Amino acid sequence: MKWLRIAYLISLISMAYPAVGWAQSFQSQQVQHMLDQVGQTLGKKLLFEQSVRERGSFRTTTYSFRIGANVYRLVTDSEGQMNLGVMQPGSLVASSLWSGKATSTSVERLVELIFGFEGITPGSNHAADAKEQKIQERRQLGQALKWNELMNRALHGDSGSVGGPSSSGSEASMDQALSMAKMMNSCVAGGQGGSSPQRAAVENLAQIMAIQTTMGVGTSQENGEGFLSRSRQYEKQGSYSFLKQLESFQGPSPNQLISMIAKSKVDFAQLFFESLGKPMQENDPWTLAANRNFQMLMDNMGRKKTQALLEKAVGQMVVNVDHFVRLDRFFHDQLVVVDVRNKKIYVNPTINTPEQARYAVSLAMIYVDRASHALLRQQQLKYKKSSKSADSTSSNAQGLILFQRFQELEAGIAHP
Amino acid sequence: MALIMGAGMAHASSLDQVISSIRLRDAVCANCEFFGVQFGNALVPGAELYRVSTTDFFPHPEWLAAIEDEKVYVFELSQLSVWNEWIRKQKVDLSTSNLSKHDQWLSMFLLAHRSTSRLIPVSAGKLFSPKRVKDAWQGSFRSRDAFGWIKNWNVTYNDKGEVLALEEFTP
Repeated sequence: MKWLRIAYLISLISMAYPAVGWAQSFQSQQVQHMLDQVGQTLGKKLLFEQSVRERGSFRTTTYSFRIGANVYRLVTDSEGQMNLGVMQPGSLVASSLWSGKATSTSVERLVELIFGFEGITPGSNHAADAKEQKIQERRQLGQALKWNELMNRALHGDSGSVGGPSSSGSEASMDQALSMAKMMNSCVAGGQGGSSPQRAAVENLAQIMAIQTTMGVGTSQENGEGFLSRSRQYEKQGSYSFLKQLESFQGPSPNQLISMIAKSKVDFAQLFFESLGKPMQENDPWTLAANRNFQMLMDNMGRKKTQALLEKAVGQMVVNVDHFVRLDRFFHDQLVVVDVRNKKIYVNPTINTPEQARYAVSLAMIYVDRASHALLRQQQLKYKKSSKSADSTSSNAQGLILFQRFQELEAGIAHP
Repeated sequence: MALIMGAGMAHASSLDQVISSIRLRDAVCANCEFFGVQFGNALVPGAELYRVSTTDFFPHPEWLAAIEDEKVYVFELSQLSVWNEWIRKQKVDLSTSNLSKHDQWLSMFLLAHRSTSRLIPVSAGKLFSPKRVKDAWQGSFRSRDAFGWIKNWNVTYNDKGEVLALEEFTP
């Protein structure tokens, strides 16, 4: 009899508060559980704020929490919809990590997405590891740009401009940077040194190093001697790992060097957009390649549409070192990457000559045009449909065509 | 019919496994829309290999992943140990001087580490000519990446296809 009463009471409660899925049933416990899982890996307790808004019968509940500098928002509504978004510092628009019916996801999936976004491997990582991972990624960037090799050559060539304490003003530091860049360029073997993206890296790095030297940050005289003696060793040994040597003596470590770059006052975006306005050399390979790309666009779509595309592309361009570092992992040595979904074009921050900047714009225009190619969109839809079916052969065939379409779209682009 | 459906579902779940692994390691793509295909390779006929890409970026990035015992191997140039760990299990035999086998190995290796790059043949039909140095093979090859840059590489590997050294050089 007692059980019957309890059952009756439960049925009354459930009629008064109809269950609308995951979102309404035990959301705060779920969110706390999710944060506990994330917090366990990060090695700290994460807390959330809850706010409820009601308009008539429609009700939304927002759970806000912070991981590092990123602010996450999990919004659920009375109709069972759920959205997980994240706002990064400095960005105007939040990126959506997941949205859909709350019942179609799980806490584990959301945790997975948060880990994915933060770049954390669950279980093994804690905050220190995450920091180390970021450093590793930046180091990979350095490797990709061959800074190590170039610096190697710079140190090998002439130490005076690295450790010289005489320059003081910004003009002097720029002169020093230029002379250093010239010196380094002349050392780059292989004939491509004059027009490669590595040259831009050298120039930027040279400027930063020169600025840091004049600001009194960086190598002391003793450390300069350390560099010198290592460079002598380089001559004796013929080859050595610059990175390993850097770690083994008292001078700035690669981590310090990267932080010097990050803290430097060099505005990569300004450098890029300023260089777009400067006159360029007519016979430079970058100029020629850019012109060929512009010509191809003009032939295909006419002057007006090309001009509209140019304005659109430049408007979407972002020159951001952090974004570039994040993207560099799977876009090795790429000058321009188009984020199709977020309509942003990320430009390699090492671009700083008018010729390279124009080439990057021409490349961005082609990418923007081709990313919205009708054939590509059609094929994406076909693949989507086939991947939902149980027939793996058909899905595989559509996937192969999609790969092929992407490859076809890269054809015809001029390179320097 | 049941068999076909079963095979299809197995394919989908393996591909999902690869995609979720890539999402976890490449944070930028946590919310990307992926597509992928399973493919075979003459060097390791039985291996479960996947080419995966995302439609969210242009030019499109590519990953090559392999699944073995529920473990996903995502290859990357800076992680040669991953390649070695995987190839060790494949029991590849490169002890002969049959160069077509070595060509297959090189194509597979480059696909794994730079899927959008293409090998530049040394001469007609030949990808490279490795030389026997003690217990290892040494050779150099050239590749052209998606951006059009030509890169020169020196590679040293053993009879099992494990890479002992890989370095980029300027001729």
